[in-house]
Amino acid sequence: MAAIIEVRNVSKSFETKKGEVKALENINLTVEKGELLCIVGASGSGKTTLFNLIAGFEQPTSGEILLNNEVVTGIHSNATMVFQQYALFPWKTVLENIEFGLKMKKISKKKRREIADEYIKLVSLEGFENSYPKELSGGMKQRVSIARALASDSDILLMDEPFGALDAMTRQIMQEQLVKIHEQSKKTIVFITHSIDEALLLSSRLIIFTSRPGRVKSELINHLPKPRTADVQISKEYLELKSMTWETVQQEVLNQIES
Amino acid sequence: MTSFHNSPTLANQKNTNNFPKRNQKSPPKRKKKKFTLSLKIVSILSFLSFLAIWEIITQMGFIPPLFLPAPSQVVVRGYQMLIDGELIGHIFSSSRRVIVGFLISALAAVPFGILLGSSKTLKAIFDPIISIIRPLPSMAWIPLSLLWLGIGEEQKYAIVFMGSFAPALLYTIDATRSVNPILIKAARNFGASNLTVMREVILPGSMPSIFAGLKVVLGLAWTTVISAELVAANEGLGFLIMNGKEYFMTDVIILGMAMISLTVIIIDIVLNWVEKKIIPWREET
Ligand SMILES: Nc1ncnc2c1ncn2[C@@H]1O[C@H](COP(=O)(O)OP(=O)(O)OP(=O)(O)O)[C@@H](O)[C@H]1O
Ligand SMILES: [Mg+2]
Repeated sequence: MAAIIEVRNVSKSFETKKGEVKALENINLTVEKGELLCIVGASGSGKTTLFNLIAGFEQPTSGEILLNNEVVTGIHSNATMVFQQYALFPWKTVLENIEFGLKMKKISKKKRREIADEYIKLVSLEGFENSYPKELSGGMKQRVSIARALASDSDILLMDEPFGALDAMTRQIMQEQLVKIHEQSKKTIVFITHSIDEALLLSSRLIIFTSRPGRVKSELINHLPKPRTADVQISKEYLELKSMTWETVQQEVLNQIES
Repeated sequence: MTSFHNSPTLANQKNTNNFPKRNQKSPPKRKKKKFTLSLKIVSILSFLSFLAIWEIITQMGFIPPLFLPAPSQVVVRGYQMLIDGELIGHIFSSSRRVIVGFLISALAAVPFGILLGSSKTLKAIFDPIISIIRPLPSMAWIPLSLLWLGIGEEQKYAIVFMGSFAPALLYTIDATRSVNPILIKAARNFGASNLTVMREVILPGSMPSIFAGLKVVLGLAWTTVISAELVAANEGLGFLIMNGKEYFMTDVIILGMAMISLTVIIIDIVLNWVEKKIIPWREET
């Protein structure tokens, strides 16, 4: 398989009033084409920062990031972001938000509408096509932002806790949808989550970050059989993986709280 | 690139979805409406009793009418002046001055402000001039404008323009800069060019703050025009008040003040309505 994202010796620090904050330290990471990679890490461990670097919103303090073997030097549209804060355009309706990426690709109005309708159905927002974001609940906004990213159909998806605001039931449905989409489309997905269960359910590989500054603490290939039904989730193998992951994450969360 | 837009299986999956449907309308809202209605009644009653107390005190002769006329006397005066058309003339000429001066300054300040707000270099070029003009109260321009333009309409338009331009510009610059940066990132992430970001994000995103700023500026424009009319004019609400003073007609002064207040309130109501129409997506803050 070919590497689609390569993160090489990347460090990122921020200058703040209180001095320098080291968000990422010497990250090395290769994402293969078609992978569904989950990143787990304590709050503040630099996960969003890594996404911002991959999307080209910010430049690494040192090191470099390659996308399809090309160094990222600025903002580009090769990796679509699902923002942790949704980032919906408040002046656009649900439909117009979902159509945005397609509009940027100069796809015709009619075709745009067709595709957007498909994704409205996918995230079950029928009847809200003409609502503005202010009229939606947090979970609904999150679904619009997912639909907007999926509709634009880029090869790489960077999803920053995309299901965080969803209730348990909706979340499970969305997880199943994402797995299906991933299997059908062969997209490369990098997925940040706080939920170990979610990571084990979705990922083909899982990466755990240390607490600040973020480093890759451990990596785990997820061989759990697919589809990862309820049966799989009570299997011995699953539980072992889960407790192993949990121990690693727990250590880091404790470090974070102590510091 | 692999596309799955055309895959029919996706659309069919919706049948398996069982999202809990959310109810849009919630009952507590109605209760709140009733409450705000009764609050409105309280406000109206308070206003009426204020007028009543004023009326009683003046009617009982505690205060000479020259010092403070009764509200009924003001109303009678207002009615007379309304009949002979004088009052409408004054309201109209002040409003025209405000609206013309304000529109010219808004038409100049908003595009210019958006430009300055989105280009650091341009901002740096104009910063010195702006920072000199900014602290000047609009009234400070009155002598110079009288000298340059006399006491005619041009002078009134000019003074309103001078009073509104700098604040309108500053509000627009601020509004343009305060557009949530994550939205600009999101647009760029979907491949938007600079021009597209301007059209799709910065322009609509700065609209609510620009509009809010312009409402304040319109208030300033009224202050300016009334002061200009107090100093030199032969019509307008400011002139009406000053004239009332010259002839010791206190009821005319009060009437003029009430008319200024009423006109500004009406314009505000109209603007709020316009705002709801052109920015229906505005998020409450
Ligand atoms: N623009 C910035 N300026 C200064 N510091 C920043 C900036 N962005 C992030 N940081 C700091 O970098 C660290 C990592 O932040 P980041 O948002 O990447 O964490 P995260 O892992 O996404 O956390 P969470 O799970 O809570 O979303 C934090 O300490 C944060 O304060
Ligand atoms: Mg984050």
